[in-house]
Amino acid sequence: MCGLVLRVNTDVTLHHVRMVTLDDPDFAGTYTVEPHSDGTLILEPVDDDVGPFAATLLRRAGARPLTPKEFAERFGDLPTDDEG
Amino acid sequence: MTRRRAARSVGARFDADAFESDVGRLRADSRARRVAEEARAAFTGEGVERTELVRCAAEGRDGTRLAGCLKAYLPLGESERPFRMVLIAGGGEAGLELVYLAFGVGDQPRASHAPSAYAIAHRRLHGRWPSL
Repeated sequence: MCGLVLRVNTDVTLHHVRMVTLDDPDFAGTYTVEPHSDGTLILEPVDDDVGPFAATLLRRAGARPLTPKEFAERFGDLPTDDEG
Repeated sequence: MTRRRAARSVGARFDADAFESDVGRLRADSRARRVAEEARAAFTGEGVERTELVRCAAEGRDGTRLAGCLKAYLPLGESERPFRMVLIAGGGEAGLELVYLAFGVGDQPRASHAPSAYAIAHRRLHGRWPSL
């Protein structure tokens, strides 16, 4: 696991001694801070910091998930990439 | 014209809480925030053109599992598009719709522990962060 180096020009808000919020386009979010044996600080995203789950989002939209067959019929012709 | 556009695009819905969770934390003047808000405005008003959609991987190399999801590369119309918006396909009374699932960068720098759009989408789908 690699440490994240904090730049001086990044806005950092301390919630308490083991949590920070970064306001940066690439690293925005709230992290727990854990000291590593080599002296670096490891920042882990806070697990509950992602808002509502997919099932809630679909329910709020009045929608249901498509079945794999339905998805293939509707979108099977669309391209993929190697990202995620 | 309207009928032709409807056939080429899919309607999209955005949950204010989820969008705010991803975008609200960004600086008001950041490029990422502007891109996300412009995409939401475009997709809400006109739907998402099918030509802008890419299928997410059922088993991604980053450990994410996003079967049933689609993504758009952002910003629209530009050659360099580092941001991704992940949407989940759903069926409702209005027919086929895409529901906003996550926004972020597609590929984080190696040293970064900030979640990508795919990791956030995985978390919202499966209730935990992806593991390789």
